[in-house]
Amino acid sequence: MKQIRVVLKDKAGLHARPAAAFVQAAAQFKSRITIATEAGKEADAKSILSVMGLGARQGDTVTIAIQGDDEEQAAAALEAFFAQQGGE
Amino acid sequence: MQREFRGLGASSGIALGPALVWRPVQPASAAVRAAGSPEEETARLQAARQAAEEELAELRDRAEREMGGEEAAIFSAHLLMLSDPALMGEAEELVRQGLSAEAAVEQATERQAALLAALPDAYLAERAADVRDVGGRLLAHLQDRRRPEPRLEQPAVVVARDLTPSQTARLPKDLLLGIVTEAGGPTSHVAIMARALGIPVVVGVPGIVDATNSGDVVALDGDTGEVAVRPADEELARWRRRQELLEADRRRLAGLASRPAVTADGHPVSLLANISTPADVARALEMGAQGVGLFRTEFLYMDRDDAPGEDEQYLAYREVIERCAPHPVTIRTLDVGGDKQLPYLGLKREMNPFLGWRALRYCLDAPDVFRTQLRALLRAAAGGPGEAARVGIMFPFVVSLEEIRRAKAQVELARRELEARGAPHAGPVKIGIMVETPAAALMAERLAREVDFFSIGSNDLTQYTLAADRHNEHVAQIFDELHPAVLRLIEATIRAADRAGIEVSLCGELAGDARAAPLLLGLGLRKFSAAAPSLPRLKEKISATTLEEARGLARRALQAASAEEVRALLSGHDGE
Repeated sequence: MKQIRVVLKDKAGLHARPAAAFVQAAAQFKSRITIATEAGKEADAKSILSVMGLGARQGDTVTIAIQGDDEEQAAAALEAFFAQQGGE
Repeated sequence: MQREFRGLGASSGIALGPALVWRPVQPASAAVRAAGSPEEETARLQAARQAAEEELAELRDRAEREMGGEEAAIFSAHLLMLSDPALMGEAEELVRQGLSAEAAVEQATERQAALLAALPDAYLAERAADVRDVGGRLLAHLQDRRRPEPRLEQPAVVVARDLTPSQTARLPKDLLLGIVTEAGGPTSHVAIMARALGIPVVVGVPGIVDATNSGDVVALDGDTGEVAVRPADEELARWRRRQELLEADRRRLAGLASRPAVTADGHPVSLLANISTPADVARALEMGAQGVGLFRTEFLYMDRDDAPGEDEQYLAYREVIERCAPHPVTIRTLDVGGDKQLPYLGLKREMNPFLGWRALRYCLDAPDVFRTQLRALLRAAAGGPGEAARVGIMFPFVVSLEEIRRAKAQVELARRELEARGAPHAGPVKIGIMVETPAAALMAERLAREVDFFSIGSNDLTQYTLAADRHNEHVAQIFDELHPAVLRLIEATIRAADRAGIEVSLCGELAGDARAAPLLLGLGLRKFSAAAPSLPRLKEKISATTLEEARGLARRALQAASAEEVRALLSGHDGE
């Protein structure tokens, strides 16, 4: 199980477009991936509606939990994804 | 009888024409159909999903061609929703439990839409409409029917309660004069798409559908949000005039914007824009700017109690750099002083804030603030390959070599801080200075060897050279950018830049004064950075001037004894 914590930097938080990009990134991996806000709301990272439903905004800290055979690669890819935030 | 409405202008322009009022018949509830076996219903659901996917992919590609990436992304998001476990997964589960495919889709869709609509965030709540659109598309395929959509057969203004993205995307663009809807806000898809198409749109006009019949003349102003239905003759004439004026202005500016900036004898000139915030970029590009010659960063620091963080700054710089692609962007580091109320920066109340602890000299004494900005800039310049080459960082208010060296050392420290964090950042970035003090102009030759470019800040240069504050009404008349003393310093700066082989631009108000353009050209200037609205006229003037005329004018201006003489020379030239 791997966990990464990131602060959302994109001005749009995890709204439609960044959410879509995030979900597409997560969908590449077999691991089960969840994303949770500090308020405790959790969503399946491969579900665009659930991710949008978190209502996560710029500046929010989110925790991404990854469990599965490819959790290492998934963690690395998602970390890289958030490091590029705001650059879209 | 004439009716007038006011909604929200969502896409600029004035549209005038016959209305096509669209009142779709509501499809009967889909849940009436009895369910077959779970296997049958699952197969139907999958077939409908497949068809919907193909349809959305086609709409996305078409939107990409006709409107652009952002609009196409709406359909990409719909595609993602179609495979979303929260939506499809739930529908599949309901079908396994015995519901018909239609009832399953309806329920799953409504549940997800309701969840989104309940969010306090207006933008996300509007996305509930997206979910319903996707659900509706699935239903249409299940029921094997075409979804109703407005049919445009001649040019018309479409008036509707609301339009889905696909309905908007399928309207024939050559016949669509404008759109008025009852629903919708500025982030609705209709608005986003219409802006991309350049079609005037007004949203948020309740009652418009009932008030209008197809064929009625409708006029709308996509900037003010005004809508007139069946305007009386006089009103109609007024609308026509407004539309004509708008069109003529647009044509003229569009024509100028796309023309290259060249002198009458074929020498290319660069015209860039001065901007204060990322929102200024769009207008700058519309006006023909070939980049941003001065991006003032003070807006990030104003009206707040604490310093802007590195990430916040990064986002703003990034936004401008991206919106300007592939053009260059030059960003000026913090240029404020005691004249501004910014207690969190620790600026002092001074007797002479314009001769005081401000801009670069403040930053060199406040390395935390300075390096935060520098780190944000270095990160922002690291977009893609080659991007760093079009970004420049510029230091204001320089008077000495020492300051340049210290500032560059801070850039290096910032770079090392980023390396230690493993944050992506640009390698070498162009570093330049504002030449806006007599000291800098007089030392230009020496300073030119230390930097990659100069930008002449004629406003401040004039102030410091003539020792007069343009905002002080007792001495405002002394302040004149065309004073020969200022011209000589400008000339010396340009000459020093040329000798050292570095670029030089002028970014003060003088750059935007079309009458002074021939003079500046004659002094050797080839790069102007001005406020966006001045660019078209500036370009017009430049294209009417030959370098020979310009040089003659400059020679005489440098010999003049006063600003009045210089003005007389310019008027004389104008009259030729």
